[in-house]
Amino acid sequence: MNADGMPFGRGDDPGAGDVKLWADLGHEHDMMSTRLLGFWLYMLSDSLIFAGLFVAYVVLSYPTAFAGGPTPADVVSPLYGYAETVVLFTSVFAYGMVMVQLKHDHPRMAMRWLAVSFLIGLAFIGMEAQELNRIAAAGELPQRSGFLSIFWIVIVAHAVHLAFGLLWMAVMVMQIGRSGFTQLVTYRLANLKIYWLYQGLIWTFVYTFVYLRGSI
Amino acid sequence: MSVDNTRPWQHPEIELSNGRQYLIGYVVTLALLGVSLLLVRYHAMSTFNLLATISVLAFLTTIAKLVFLFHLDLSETQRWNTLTLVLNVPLLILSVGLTSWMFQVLYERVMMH
Repeated sequence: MNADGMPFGRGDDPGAGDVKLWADLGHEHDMMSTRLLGFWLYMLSDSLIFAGLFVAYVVLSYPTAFAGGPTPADVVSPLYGYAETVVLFTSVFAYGMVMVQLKHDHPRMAMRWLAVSFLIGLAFIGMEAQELNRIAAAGELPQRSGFLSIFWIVIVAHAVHLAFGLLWMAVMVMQIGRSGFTQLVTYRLANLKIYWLYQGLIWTFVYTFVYLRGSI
Repeated sequence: MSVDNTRPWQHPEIELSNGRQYLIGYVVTLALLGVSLLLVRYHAMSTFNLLATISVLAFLTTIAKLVFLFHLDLSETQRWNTLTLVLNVPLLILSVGLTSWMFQVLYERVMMH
C-alpha cells in the first residue's frame, strides 16, 4: 500500500507478469445480452399494438356497435376458448423444454421439443380456424358490425403472430440441424422463446377480455 | 460484461432456463384461468364483481408468467428486462385506461341507448 491507500502508485512496478490488458481468448463482447434486450424492447412495443387493439375492442363493445347484430356472447364460447388456452400454453411449455435442452447442450432433443411445440402450436391455429369458420358460417363476418370487425381483427392479429412464430420454429429446426448451438443459433432460440412466451401472455388477455368478459 | 462465446449455451440468460419452473408456470397459469372460467360459467357473483375478479386473475396469471416463464427479477442478468417492462406499464395503462374512460363517459352522455 502507498500513501493514497492504493495497492501501487504510478511510479511503482505493477508486476508485469500479473497484468492482462485484455481477456482470454473466447471472452469477448456480450453480443447475446445486447440482442436479447433489443428484441425484448421490440416485444414491449408489440404489446402496444395489442393495447391499441384492446382499446378498439372496448370502444366497439357498446351495444350501439352491435348494429342489431350478434353480441360478444353470441360469437364466443368460453369453454372452447379454455381448450384453446390449454393447447397454446402446452406449446409454450414445450418451448420451455427446448430452452432446457439448449442449456444442457442437447441439440437433438432440442429439435424434438421444437417439433412438439410446433405441432401443438399448429393445432392451436387449427382450432382458431375452425372457430372462425363456424362464426363465418353463421353469417357473423367482419363487415356485419363494428364489434365483429374488431373481434375478427383481434383474433386474426394474434393468429398471425403465432403463424410467424411457427415459421420461425421451422427455420430454427433447420439451423440447429445445420450448425448446432452456435452463438447465432443460441440467441435466435432465446429470442424465439421471448416471442413465443409473449404470445401466450397476450392470449391471457384475449381469453379474459374477449372470451370471458364477452360471455358474462 | 464478459462472457465465454465459445459455449453460448452457458450464457447467463440461457442458464435461467429451468424445467421445473416452466412446469409450475404451466400449471399455475392454467389453474388461474380455470378459476376465471368456472366463475363466469356459473355466474358466481354480480357482473361488476365478476369483471373485477377475472381482471385480477388475469393480472395474477401475468405475474406468474413473468416470474416462472420469463424469469424476470432484479438480478444483474435480468434487471434491464424488468426495468423496461415496468416503464412500459404506464404506457399500457394510459392508452387502454384513458381511452376506455373517455368512451364510457361519451357513451353515457351522448349516445342513444
